[in-house]
Amino acid sequence: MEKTQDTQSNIIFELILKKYGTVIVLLLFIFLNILFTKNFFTISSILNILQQASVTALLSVGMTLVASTGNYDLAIGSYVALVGVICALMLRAGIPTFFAVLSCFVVVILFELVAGYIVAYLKIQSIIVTIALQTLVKGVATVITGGNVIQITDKSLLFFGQGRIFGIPFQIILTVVIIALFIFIMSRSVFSRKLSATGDNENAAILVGIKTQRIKMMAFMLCGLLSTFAGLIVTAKIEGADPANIGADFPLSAIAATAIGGTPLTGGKPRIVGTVIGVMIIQLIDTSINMNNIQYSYSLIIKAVIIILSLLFQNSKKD
Amino acid sequence: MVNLMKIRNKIIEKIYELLKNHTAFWILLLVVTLTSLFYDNFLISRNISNLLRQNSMLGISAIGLTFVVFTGGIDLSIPSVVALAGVVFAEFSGFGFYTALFAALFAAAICGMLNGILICRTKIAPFIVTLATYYAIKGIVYTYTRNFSIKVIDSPEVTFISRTFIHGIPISFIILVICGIVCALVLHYSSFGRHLLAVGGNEEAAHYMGINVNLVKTAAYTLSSTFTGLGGIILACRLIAAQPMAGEGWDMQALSAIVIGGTLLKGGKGSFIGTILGILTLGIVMNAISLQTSLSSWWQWIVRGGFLLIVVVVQGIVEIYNEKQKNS
Repeated sequence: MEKTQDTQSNIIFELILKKYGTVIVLLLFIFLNILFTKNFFTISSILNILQQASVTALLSVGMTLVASTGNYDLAIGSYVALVGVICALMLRAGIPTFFAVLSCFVVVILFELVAGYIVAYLKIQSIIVTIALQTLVKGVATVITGGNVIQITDKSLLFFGQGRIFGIPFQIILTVVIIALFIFIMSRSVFSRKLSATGDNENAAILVGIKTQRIKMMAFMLCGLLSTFAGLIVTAKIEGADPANIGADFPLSAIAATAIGGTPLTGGKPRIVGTVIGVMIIQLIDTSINMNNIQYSYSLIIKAVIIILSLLFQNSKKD
Repeated sequence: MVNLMKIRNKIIEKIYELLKNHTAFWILLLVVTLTSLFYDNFLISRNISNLLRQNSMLGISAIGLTFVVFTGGIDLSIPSVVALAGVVFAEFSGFGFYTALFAALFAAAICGMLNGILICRTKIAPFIVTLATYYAIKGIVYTYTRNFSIKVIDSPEVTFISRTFIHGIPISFIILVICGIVCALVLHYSSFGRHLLAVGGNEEAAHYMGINVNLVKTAAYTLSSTFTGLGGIILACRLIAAQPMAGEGWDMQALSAIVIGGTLLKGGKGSFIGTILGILTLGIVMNAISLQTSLSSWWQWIVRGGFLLIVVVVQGIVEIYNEKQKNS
């Protein structure tokens, strides 16, 4: 009798670990930071952390959608760079801010449409398609600027990265609203079911009558939409376009956050809340390392260990 | 009339068959022809031997990565393994060339084994595991070198493997070709090669056939890192210094070459010779940009990305056409 009880509690423990493993890691991290990092638990530093996390969060949510169809998008960093260049060029030509921003959305989503089409209809592995697009788009952006930084002084565009509403940075509000919207949509729309079905078992999804190719393209285009928002924030933050130095790290962090969040990279249910937790974990690693004056080289090792550990938590006793 | 149509169809079929089976070779031929037509100073021996020397290190690493791609995996830790092997080699180069070579290859092999064991034991996606080991190894290298480069103590062997030419062909390229041929022989004539393809084709089926899937995968990752280590050593020998930043971007470039070479990223099919042809193709495209002096260096990104995209799309279209032919 005692034995069965024991195994039962074991099973419950494992379930909790599997379901809330990442949350536990995040809480542990916050707890350690409150204990050891000076000035961590102040409003300004919390806002600072959220501000830094907002770009990665937007990109990672987009990546989550793509990953849930079983694909990667390594080009998002280049889109971020491209958005800056388009804005800078348009504004310099005297085009109103609204149309400059709009054209960013159009261009990036068109690129993602092409990527999605190649992946879905020509059935080429997304990783190599997006590596090619990443290189191409980065090249286009850098050739346009000649490798230099172009300054942007337009007030309404800079609001994306520097504006504040009631003392809260606008980018945090924007990110929270967008992500909340996506969580809401993904929890009840048919699209989300189709997305999971496509990633889980594509053949079955086709047999059920889902147009999986369209779903894949949609996922890529939504990812493009989110990357454009991220690009606008980054452009406003650095007050200019700097395609030579921006965007290389974004796709890898986004994929890491997605994986930590529990979305299977081979395709399956998109877990946006998990991804947001993953983003927070990665951001907290960076922040706590910065605030404690730990060397960059150690931060890489710590990052690696935490990525593996938080995935181990989820995968423990899966079989 | 009917006869003529038949003959025509047969000729088209033959050409199509040839194109289909040796895509990488045809792409290379096309690129070589175009480049030598447009640039007079492309086909001179100095340019060619320089081109071969520049690309052979990346090529050796791509040969290693091909093993991993055969199993359907990916190895993002390549850049840091290049740096690590270089640093270990530089540190041990005072004890003689062969000691240093052995130590560096050993260090690289350990990294690969770690990758393989983590991937097989934890069942975490290879993309994430190797991303994590990329960060970790890079961190170790930065911590150890404090971001300075380390001098390699010069010896006749160091000069031999990195800066010697036989009739204009660099030794490092000969090493690449030997590696490619040996790996191709292993792939076609050993049980390990067949197991590798079986695991890549269908892991579960391979498991039920009695293949030790974990062992095969771990071996693939170990080989990938070992070859990458060799590439890193030759790079360090060429520069007479090990740089902690060495190898950045090699993973993506190697992957591009492998895809151009006709290896499927989902695993189960491909060739080592194709990888070498892919490396040469990419190298020549890069070379052509540097010969076109009117373009800024940023153009290499556009050309590389655009070229890769075109090749991949054409491959995809050919594949779809193939399937349609098979079905009808």
